[in-house]
Amino acid sequence: MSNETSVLPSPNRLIHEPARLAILTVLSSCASADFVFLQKITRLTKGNLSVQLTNLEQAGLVVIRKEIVDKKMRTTVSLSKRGISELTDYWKTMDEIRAHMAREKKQRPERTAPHPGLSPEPAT
Amino acid sequence: MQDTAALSTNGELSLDHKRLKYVTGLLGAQQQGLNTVLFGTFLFLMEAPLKWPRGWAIDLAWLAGMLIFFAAWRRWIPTYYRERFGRVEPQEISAKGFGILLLVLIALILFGQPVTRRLEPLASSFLGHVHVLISDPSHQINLWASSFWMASLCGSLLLRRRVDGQWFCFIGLLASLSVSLFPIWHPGAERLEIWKILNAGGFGLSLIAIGLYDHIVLVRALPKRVAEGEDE
Repeated sequence: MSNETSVLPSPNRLIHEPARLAILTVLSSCASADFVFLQKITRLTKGNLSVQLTNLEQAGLVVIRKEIVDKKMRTTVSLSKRGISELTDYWKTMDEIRAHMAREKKQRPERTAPHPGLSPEPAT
Repeated sequence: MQDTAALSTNGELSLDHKRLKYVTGLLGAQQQGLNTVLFGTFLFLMEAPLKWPRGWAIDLAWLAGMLIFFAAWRRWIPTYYRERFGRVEPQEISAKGFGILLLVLIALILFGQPVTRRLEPLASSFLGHVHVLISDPSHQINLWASSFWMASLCGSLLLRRRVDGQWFCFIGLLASLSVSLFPIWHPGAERLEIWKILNAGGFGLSLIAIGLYDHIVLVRALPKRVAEGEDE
């Protein structure tokens, strides 16, 4: 068991965090989204969303554009090329882990099944 | 219709990735829910045999209605969506997708007419067969609405186009079939005004229903405006 788990690929920790994964998932299904939409769909607080976006930008996964429209700041976020490939790799890794777990689950009942010779005799 | 992302009891963010993508796609779509409702209403008013009184006032009202339609389509609805839900830019078509689209267009220009000439008798004989099956040799029954709901149901079941929308499409299909097949059980129903309106305007009504459904999904998935003034 320990041998098998050691070969398990590990997912990108930066992407694996639920809030960041939600942001990246949303961005992967559009060209860009603004801060208001991201906040509503992820239900994160402004501060938390800002921190997560900064982390993602520093890692080069997203591109943040700021512009002033009607005297208001508008922040638009989109996935960078690196972000697209990292997210694709992340999902591949997760698929591999899922496949590995499914194989493990299949094998487990055979291992844990009691030997027929050891099963208790029915009381007569 | 659930939340796209919600804090579970242990404080962790639980996610439904399909729903996240679906809701993002709904807002980024060219034809957003309320726009579909608008087009459905327009189609219904055009197709349904409604008896309008005649006169210059009615003509003026139609003109005003058209102006309101264009203003709502181009300005009011997009502005409402932007202010209520935020802004999402749809994904641009990829070079591969654009190439395929171009090839299809060229193929349609080159082979569209001969293919149509060959398929048209087949399609009309199939439709004739369907109309005979539902005891409608005079082609009075409009099958557009039923076809639309059938396609929507297949799309939601096979392509997972509408998350949780299968039941809605199924109910839509049942409703449209009930209208279409009503004259089989009630001969003489073709003379009923209400049946005539529902039969002819069925497609418009279907668009209104599906547009409202899409809009309600958005409203339920995204809470009211949380950011006032500046977005950060």
